[in-house]
Amino acid sequence: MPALTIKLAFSLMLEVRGLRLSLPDRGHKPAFGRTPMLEILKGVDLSVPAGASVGVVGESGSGKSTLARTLVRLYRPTAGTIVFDGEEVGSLEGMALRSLRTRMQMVFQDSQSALNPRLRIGTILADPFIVHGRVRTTTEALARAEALLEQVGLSRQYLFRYPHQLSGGQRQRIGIARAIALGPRLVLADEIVSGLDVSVQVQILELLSTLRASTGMAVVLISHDLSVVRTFCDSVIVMRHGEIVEAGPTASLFEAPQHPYTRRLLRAIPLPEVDPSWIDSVNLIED
Amino acid sequence: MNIRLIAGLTVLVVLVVAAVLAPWLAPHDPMTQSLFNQLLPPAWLAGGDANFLLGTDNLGRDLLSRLIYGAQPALLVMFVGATLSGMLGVVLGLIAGFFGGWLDAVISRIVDVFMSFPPMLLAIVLVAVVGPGVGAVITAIILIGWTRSCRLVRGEVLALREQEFVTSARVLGVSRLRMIVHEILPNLLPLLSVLFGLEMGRAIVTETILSFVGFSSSSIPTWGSIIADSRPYIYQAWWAMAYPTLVIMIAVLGLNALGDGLRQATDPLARR
Repeated sequence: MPALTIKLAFSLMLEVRGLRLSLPDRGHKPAFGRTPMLEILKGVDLSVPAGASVGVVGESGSGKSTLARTLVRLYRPTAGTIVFDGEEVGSLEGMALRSLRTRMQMVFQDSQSALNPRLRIGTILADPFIVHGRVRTTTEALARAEALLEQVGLSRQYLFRYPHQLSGGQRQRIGIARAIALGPRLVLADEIVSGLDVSVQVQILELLSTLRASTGMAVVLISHDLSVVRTFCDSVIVMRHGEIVEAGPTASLFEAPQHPYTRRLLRAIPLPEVDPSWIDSVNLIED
Repeated sequence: MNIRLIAGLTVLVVLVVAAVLAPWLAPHDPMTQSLFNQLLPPAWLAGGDANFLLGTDNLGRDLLSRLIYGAQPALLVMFVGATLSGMLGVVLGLIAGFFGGWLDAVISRIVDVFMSFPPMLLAIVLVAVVGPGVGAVITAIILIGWTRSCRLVRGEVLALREQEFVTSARVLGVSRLRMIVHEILPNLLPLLSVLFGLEMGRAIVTETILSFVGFSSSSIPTWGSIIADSRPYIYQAWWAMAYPTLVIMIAVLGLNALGDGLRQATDPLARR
């Protein structure tokens, strides 16, 4: 069916085929000779339609974070293709890679370490505009930073704060603001709500949903928390040991998981199981 | 209140004032000899002369005036020495830590070689080759001092490089130069201020030792040369050696406190 193939290729914003990545295994570095290589991604296929939200789940060490870091080209793939907006980006260098930076961004897990502790929020948020020559003056950059703050639901007074003066949720909002600064088509969110209170998690995910709807950007949400992925994502891929074990629309994957590993993951979700008669067994009056 | 900063600044201001206003502050010419007034004790001791507040040395030169004039070479040596050695060490440490690889290997091995050589011997050999004088002393201070700042900065940069704000700067497409200047350098400020205070103190101590072994300038009185000149007379005139030693100690302590105080003042985590 050639017609269908063309249509698919057209509507897909990001298409990853057979992505492999090997990194030096520093843990097993010999005293002499070459450092052995460790294959972390073993042929990953991934499709992200424009404006979609795709979840990537798996245990720690499954390669989900490395996948995100390879997609934003912090690593150069060992093999395979990453086609983004019809362009092969897996081997981009120099200026072409810089242009990719404006279209694909990332939000990091540890908001504390992801924001420079010595720079004010205003400086951090003005940086993308300055680096990519989107503004002519610092005043202009600060105005853009202020608009960004508003977009993520923070008032302008935060421009003059330092990251350590913000709460974890506020810092993660800044991380999101920085990622959307240049109007990317795709944002990779790497475990951005782990380590936050559940109520704050919901707020951050809602913010990301709102931004996705208003800007039309796609989001790849990486999480070990399946309930997070279930509420946020249209489709899910399940990773294990650097491979994809199952992929599909969120609803069908959660209703009828095919792979035994997925079933095990789903069973591991902690559910609030409370027996209503529990309250009677508690002695409320201390004697 | 930042007591260290205030104490350090006080010492620094006193030093600068003494150096700049030496011709007006000093009661005597520091080089004028008076053989009638040899080895006079401080004014308040028996036999002291109110004209010579801290006493005189073996050639009858006024000790207080010599100490005041000694602030000039001390300031020169500590500022120029600490700045240049710091800059050399910071630049090389940044390069080694940030870029890693063979650059790091080469720079680190050079540091190892310099550190394995007894520093004072290195300085003495250098002064012997270049000839005595303030310039040689400063060169020696740079050659000894840069390795310490280089190694400290390298280690700090290695740790900073792994922080995610550096990764996120990479994802934003920030150039390497901007990353070093804009992301890494501000985080080195506390370390650099402590280092600068320590190195200024060390510069004075190095100058003292080089003077003591006779390798400093002989045309102007330096604190080290005052100590060296007075050493043979320690049993008759302890003050000629004690006061310059005291001055050096206060200066070094003050400069170290200044560095520490600056660290506190420049750390946004410290001022909430």
